Amino acid sequence: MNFSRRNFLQVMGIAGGVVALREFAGRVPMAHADPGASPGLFLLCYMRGGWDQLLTLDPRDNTDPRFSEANARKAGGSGIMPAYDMVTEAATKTLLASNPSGVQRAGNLSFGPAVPTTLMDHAADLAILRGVSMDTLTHEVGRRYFTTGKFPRGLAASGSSITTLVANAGGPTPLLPNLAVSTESYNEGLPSFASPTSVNSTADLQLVLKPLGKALDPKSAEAIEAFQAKSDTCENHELDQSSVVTTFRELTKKSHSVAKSNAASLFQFSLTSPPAEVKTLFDALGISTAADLAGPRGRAAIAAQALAKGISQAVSVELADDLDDHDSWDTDHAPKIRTAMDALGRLITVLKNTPHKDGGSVWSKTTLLLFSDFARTPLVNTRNGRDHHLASSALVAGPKIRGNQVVGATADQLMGAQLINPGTGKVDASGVKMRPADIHATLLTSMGIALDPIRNQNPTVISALLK
Amino acid sequence: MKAQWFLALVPAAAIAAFACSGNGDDSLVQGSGNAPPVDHPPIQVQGTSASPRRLSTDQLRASLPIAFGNDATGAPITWKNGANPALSNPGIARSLGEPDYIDTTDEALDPSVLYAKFMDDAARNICGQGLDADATRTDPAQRALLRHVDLADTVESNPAGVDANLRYLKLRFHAVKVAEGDTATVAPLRELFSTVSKASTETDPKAKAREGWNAVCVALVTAPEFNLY
Repeated sequence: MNFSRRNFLQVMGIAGGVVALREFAGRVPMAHADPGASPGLFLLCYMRGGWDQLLTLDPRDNTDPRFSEANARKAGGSGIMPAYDMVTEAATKTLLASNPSGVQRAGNLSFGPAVPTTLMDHAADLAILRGVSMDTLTHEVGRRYFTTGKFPRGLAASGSSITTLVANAGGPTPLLPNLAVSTESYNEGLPSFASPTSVNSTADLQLVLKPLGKALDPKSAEAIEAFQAKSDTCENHELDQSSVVTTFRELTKKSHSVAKSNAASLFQFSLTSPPAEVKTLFDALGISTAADLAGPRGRAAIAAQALAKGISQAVSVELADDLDDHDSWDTDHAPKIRTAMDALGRLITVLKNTPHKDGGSVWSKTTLLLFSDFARTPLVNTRNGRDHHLASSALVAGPKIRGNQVVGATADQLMGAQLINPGTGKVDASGVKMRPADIHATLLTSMGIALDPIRNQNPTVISALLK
Repeated sequence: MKAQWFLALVPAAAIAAFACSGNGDDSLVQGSGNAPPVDHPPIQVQGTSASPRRLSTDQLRASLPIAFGNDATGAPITWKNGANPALSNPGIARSLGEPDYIDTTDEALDPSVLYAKFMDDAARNICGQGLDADATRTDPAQRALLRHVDLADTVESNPAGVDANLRYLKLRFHAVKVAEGDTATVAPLRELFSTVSKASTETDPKAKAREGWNAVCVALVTAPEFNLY
């Protein structure tokens, strides 16, 4: 064999490539308890600003004398005012006319009057977590705590988003493994393929998925790709000490596949003449106006396409903004909650009606977490608003999550978070408090993902939630 | 068997490292910074550096106009999406990870698919602008990209000029000085230029050569050497 420098570099390139490809293609191994298994899909839904639990996931009977305004406000009183009769929203008024308690029931679950039937229809799959202790009344901290499962450092997020952990566990195959639709998302120490792709709209997605500007002649493009594939310079070797060059080349190759894919067409959300498939999606999500497209339903449509078409392993999406109703809660809060939860309910329906390539529906492979920054005070303030409250709730679902159950509770006085027995999910005075870290640990466990990234939070897996 | 392969690779790795090491061990830096006292013994400092990372969005904004110069109207060349500077597009800047200092304060500087995709978009756009600008300049010394060739030169008609221009571009975009007699280093770029200009369906020799130089430019701008440091 002629042992030239070129031959040598080729051999080394192959050897180095194998090592580096393992680095690139291989996820961080600790992140998946069973590297052979897929973690499934993940949908993280966020409602910005802090939601009112009484209107949503932790209601109280509006006719119960303990919760009348007089009894709520008196010394030693309940400190809880559902105040559903103050809500000006027509749908809530209609509900109260036939059901004065304002508490809606679906299976074993109970919901407040602002939750639409489109979401309650999925009660059999859903588990409500009540009395989640947020340990903060600062928006950024609550949001980032629930996003990563780790309590922030000051205001700064600590650790990676749960979507990033899932994307890492799923590997680099999807075009956009971790899609963040109008949400914050973080990657701390995991491979770059798992980093979030942040978009606010389908226009942003078009920028991401479509080649911008004039395309090269196909023969030029082919020659450049061939050049890139065999390019091997000393400068690359010097830079590649931590495989960054090898990773960059793999990413470049993948970017070509993104540009050549028809993924952009899946997000061409035209209201005037949508393609048949998009029209079906619009009908299912109730999208008919530009406002719909720009709001929660439009963002739900992006999430639906990304999960249903195999574009993403994990999607985070903001379904409501500006829930921070320190005043005008009576006029503003319920409509925003209803719109957001309706979008989620419809999104779940779309995922249930979409077959997954491995059998079953896309929903049957999807783990869901719905959360907000924290809750709102159970007493209405003097501006008809509600302020920040520690004990919040969450909604979860998943292939390995036991639905149709409520885990945890808040007290009937002051709505404080109660301790629970993680094995039964019931209130237990000698139990533990339920925190976002515990919810993350439970969901990660249900997906077969190891808990190493959040281990320093000493999380408790709530086994009552697991099938 | 595995052990044999490993043993075979160890000296191979050493030779490969030597092949790329230039004049000895580049990691040793001598006597840089403030001068020690004259009677101080020689200092050998083990060089350390941060891990390589990609250019930030701000660095791209600043460096593209410097690398490509001005267009025919004298305006600095930068990546444009339509008529507007692409890096001022909030969607692109956000997708590239630029912090908004409301929700995010850190820019993730590890390479990503999106970064590679946007650099591909950027390269096609700015290389075209650069070549268009050069085509208007008769004095080669005023050109940013085609400083050592005429617009219609090919590998066959002016091999020395093409190689000189490739060495110049390698220095301009990658800060790599290729020695004048080193034809091997620029050989892959020469082959790319030649392949693309010959395959061009254009009939005008200048247009054919332009496609070749465009391909070379895109390859250089999308290379790790341009984007990582």
